[in-house]
Amino acid sequence: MKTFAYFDSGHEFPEEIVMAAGFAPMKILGNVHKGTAAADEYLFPYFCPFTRACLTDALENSGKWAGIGFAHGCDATNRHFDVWKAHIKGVPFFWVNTPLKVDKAAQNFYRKELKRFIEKLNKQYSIKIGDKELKDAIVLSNQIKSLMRQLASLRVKKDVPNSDYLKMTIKAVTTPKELLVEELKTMLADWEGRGPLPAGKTPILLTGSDVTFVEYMELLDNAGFRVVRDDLSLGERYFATTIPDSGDPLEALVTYACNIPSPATRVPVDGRLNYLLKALNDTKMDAVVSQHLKFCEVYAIDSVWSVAAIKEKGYNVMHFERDYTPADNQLLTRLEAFKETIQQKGGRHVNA
Amino acid sequence: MSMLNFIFNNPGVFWEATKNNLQQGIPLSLASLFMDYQTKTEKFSQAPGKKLGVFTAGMPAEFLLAFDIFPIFPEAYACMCGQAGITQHLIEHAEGMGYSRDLCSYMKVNVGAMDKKYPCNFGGAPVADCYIASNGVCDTQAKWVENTARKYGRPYFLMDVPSPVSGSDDAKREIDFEYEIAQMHDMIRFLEKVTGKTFDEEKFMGIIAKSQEVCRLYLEIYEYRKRFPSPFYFEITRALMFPQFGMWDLDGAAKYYRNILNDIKKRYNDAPSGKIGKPEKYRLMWEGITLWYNIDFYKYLAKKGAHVVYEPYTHAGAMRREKTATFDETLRVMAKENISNFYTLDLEQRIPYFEQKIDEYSIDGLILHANLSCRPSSTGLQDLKTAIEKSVKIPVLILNCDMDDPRAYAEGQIRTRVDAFIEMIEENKKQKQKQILSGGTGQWQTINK
Repeated sequence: MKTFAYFDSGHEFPEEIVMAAGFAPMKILGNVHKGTAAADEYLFPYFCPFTRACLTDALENSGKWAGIGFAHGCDATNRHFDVWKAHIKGVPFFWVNTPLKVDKAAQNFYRKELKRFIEKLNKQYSIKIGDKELKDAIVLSNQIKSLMRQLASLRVKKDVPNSDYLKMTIKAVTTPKELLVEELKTMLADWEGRGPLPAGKTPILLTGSDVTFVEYMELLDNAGFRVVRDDLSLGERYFATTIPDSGDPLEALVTYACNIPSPATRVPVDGRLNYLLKALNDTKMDAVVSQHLKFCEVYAIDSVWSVAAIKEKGYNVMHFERDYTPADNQLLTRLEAFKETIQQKGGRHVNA
Repeated sequence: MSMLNFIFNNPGVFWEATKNNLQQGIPLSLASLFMDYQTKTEKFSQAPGKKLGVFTAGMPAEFLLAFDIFPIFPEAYACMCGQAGITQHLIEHAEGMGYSRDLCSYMKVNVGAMDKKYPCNFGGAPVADCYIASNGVCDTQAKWVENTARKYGRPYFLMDVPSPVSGSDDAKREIDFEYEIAQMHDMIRFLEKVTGKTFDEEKFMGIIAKSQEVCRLYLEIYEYRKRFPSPFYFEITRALMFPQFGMWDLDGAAKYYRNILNDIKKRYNDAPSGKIGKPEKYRLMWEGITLWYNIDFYKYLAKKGAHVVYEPYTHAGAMRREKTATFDETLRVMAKENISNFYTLDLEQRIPYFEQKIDEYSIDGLILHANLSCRPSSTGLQDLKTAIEKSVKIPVLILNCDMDDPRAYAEGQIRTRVDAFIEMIEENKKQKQKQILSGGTGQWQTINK
């Protein structure tokens, strides 16, 4: 099965349509261990480093891809589309303008966008994506989301290192879906057999810019934190909700897009905060690590308000700006200090 | 905070602003229009029953006017602060509130000034009754206004503008227009709820007609900027754009632009060409937002004989370019103008647009402002530079600065680069002249009109 790559700064891209077209969707995630010199020929160093890593990845690997899809997530996705299209040759490009709103007008718009995307795929690859293919893709996608939810729910009970969780979510967006189900099932059996959440680990909710490399998650573990809830796109946003599996499949995808946990770019403006507060309440924890990647504007701006709003509810919150680098000992020191602060305040501290 | 209180509490800021404003060279007639805006803003913010509405660039503010809502355009206040040279302490104040160093300096000036309760002449803005924003220019504008609305607990409406990307076809554009139009109807319902009034289509069309006339007059001025010398340079047009952009007084704006045009026409159409003035030695085009805090930069260019005679930034704001007769037609044209604005063109359209403007305005060199706090407007500049250098064969300079944050301006480095740029233009002109003398066309540009 051929790989169809997509660039998406959130969880906006309709993978199911690509699956229905007979391709294996793969989210472009860049490589934090590689320099971005190739992308820096076209994008300035003060642009989001993750997006520059993605372009670098695409410049190197696009020859292996059947197509490249873009979903509108933030200014980087819509503006960088042109730059990618100008420099990556021999691969067809597709643009899906995901709306930032979820009201009726936005739903109508998105429905048309999805139809247009299907027509473009049909034309480009001489295929015919029908309802059956879409419904099959939705069933498979829901099966994956369900397994991921079961896996994610174990974080609060079992010894699931943060990096294991991120590896699972990365696998979900980079592995052909048919192979994924069995892998996730095996993973689930493994995680269920694990010991309890280790003593001394403080459960946290992780929010903000997407985390795309495991070293960052390891850093949180090293500081004594276990991410038991999150609202990341390589995280709960991807699997928190199910795609309706009856009726018109296109309508189901529109409904799904309106119901996923809201990122910082979307309105209604309280959608993101409500999800975070509900997660904190449901999981009975009192610490939040909020972060934004350098130059990630929407989360940087949103954090000023969201962090204050969460603090106001009595939670311990730490917010910081982070670099796109696999090793950050300065950050480790700050996280350790945050942990000590929580301990001094008598915050919840598993098994301690 | 009243102006007297402000001056009493911030004498240093007031003095700095006064001193810098006097160096801008803005005509008194234009300065008095700004004062009118500020005075009205302060007055209406205290008038019982009068509603105020904040809007961002790209939002069709005519809808606010149709509901008798006084339009507040915080971006304009941030620009004025930049001209007044008082942005740094406001930006630092916003950073102290949690806003990152890398974020939009307009936003930080406004957020800082509001938090310090400065009057609008000094970057602040009164708390409005509603906030309408668009992501058409950038995500930041939407998030900025959203945060302000959240902070003060006021209703917020987002106009979600579809992004024009390279390769979009007519079918795609049609989908985008329909989404925009549907949102305009939603905005009407939003404003009806805010004001308790029913939308008056006839009144709206009257406002649109005025707005179209303001834009027509404003755009006609740009036709004269193609002449030698241009009647206005960027130092002035960056201020000249606000009466049409801010929309606080469409009649006043039309009157102002009509007077200007009359003067220009008299000067350019009646006087013998030699009497108009000395043609520019080097005619420049500027892409991106101006350096608000640094009039000296433009004076330095002028000292070298170089003047910015065209910039999409000030030209693009005049969006009501097309006359319309019916309400439905108007919404459709507004949607089109909003999405297909040449300040946010996709790269495949942006390159030919620049080539055309370089020709029309007889441009010798192009400056691209890689703006540290405006990533959207900086995207694609490298490609634009490469394409223009190749097709039009004029020198292109990328300047890394910031529109409102003087901390990002390194004078020594920038002047060195400008010097080299001017030398390249001079050399390029000589080469082209030689080519003409040897029988070639040598020129991509039209000869002095």
